[in-house]
Amino acid sequence: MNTKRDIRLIAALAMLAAVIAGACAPAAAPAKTEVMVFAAMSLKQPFSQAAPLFEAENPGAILQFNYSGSGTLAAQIESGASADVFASAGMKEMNLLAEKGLIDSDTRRNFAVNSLVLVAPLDHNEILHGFSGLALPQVRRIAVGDSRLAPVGLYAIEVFKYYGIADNVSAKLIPCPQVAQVCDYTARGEVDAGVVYLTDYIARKSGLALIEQAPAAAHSQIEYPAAVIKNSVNKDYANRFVRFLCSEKCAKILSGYGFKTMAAGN
Amino acid sequence: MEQVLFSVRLSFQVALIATVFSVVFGCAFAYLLARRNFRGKELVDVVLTLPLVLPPTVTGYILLVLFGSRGLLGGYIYSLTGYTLMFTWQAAVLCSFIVSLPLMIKTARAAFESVDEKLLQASYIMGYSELHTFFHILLPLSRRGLYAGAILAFARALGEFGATLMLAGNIEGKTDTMPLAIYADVAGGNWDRAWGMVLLFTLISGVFLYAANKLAGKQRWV
Repeated sequence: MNTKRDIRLIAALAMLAAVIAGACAPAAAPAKTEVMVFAAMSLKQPFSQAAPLFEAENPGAILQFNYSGSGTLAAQIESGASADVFASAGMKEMNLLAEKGLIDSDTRRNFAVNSLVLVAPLDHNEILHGFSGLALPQVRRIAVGDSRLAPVGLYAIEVFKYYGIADNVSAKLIPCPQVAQVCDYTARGEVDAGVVYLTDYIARKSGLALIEQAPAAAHSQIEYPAAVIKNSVNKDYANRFVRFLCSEKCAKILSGYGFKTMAAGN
Repeated sequence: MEQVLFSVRLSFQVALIATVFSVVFGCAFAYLLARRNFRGKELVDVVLTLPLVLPPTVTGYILLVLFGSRGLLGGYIYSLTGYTLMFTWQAAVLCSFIVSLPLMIKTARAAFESVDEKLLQASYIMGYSELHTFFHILLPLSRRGLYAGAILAFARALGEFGATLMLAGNIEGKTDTMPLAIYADVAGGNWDRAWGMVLLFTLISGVFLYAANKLAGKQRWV
């Protein structure tokens, strides 16, 4: 009796799992070429908006995205991940891959420029009026990108040096693997301030107060390069996507999220 | 090298403290689950076992909502004392404790249930209290299972990553336990240092699993 009931229970659970898997599976689509784009986290929203435009122009291609910190992505590509395009939030990671001969250097283009802002929790930002205020003793924790993993952390340190507060704030820093985490800790009030890209602030906004935008002179230019990966199997589409990133159409979307673009030059 | 040593030391410190908590609370919960009947018993079992199967990010998020400086419990503590668990190594202890607790409970419950009921009844009949019986009869008779549970809990506590990353952060020289340091080294391209820690970690975990198997394996014949 009992074993029969057990078997029925297990069968029911298995069916439940199968139904969930089935319900969530995408509808069968005609075979298209998948173009795998490894993109910095900060590009998530504009890229998701731009993807249908590219796919409409290139009916044979379907874009797949892997978003993460640029350092993480570069490490994944280095270890042989099958990517077609790399869109980085910093030159350092792209240069690293170029040095190792992992990208087609002649396809490399800079397609966007970002800037850095100081944010604070929306309901707790009375004391903070700008970057120099981070040295105040009332500011106890500052979330920044982990400089080992996400370039946004390196730019933040440059800004701290520009204001002469690098030593003062170094003990207050909470390094985060991704910039989204900086926004999250700040919005939750777990930290008193955070340093993020302007685009992240624009994309997220809720719970965040914009305190100050860092002057362009305070940090090296935050350029976003994209390139085709050397061992890509879809070089044609990968190339087209990199060129698409520099197009007027894509620039319009990017600037909607706070990026400066170079479309005019291209 | 200094940073590696720090991570190793911090990992063991965190895992040891977490294991102490896991053993104490694990034995208490396992005793209740094994020897008492009460309403919602199965629910308690499910809730305490969940961290074993939930993605660490889910556990981490729940802990963040509970213990963040504006969390349900954390906010209360913060407004009273100005102390927050966030971004401290103590947060790593909490995470390791929560994820290792189910392993301790499961093993301890099985060990308690395998002790001959007659021995416990004999103790009661001789007039010993439940507490006395617990410490002098039940614990000694199930010690092998408890050792195995404690070792498993320790190994799991040592490897805790996801929830720790969310609550304690990955602050070099402050909260970067071995798994977090390895993550940063791998993602940051510092592969040589990662390799060393990966080998060390795999070796340690293997030794602990072997010890747990040895202890649990013998218990069946006691």
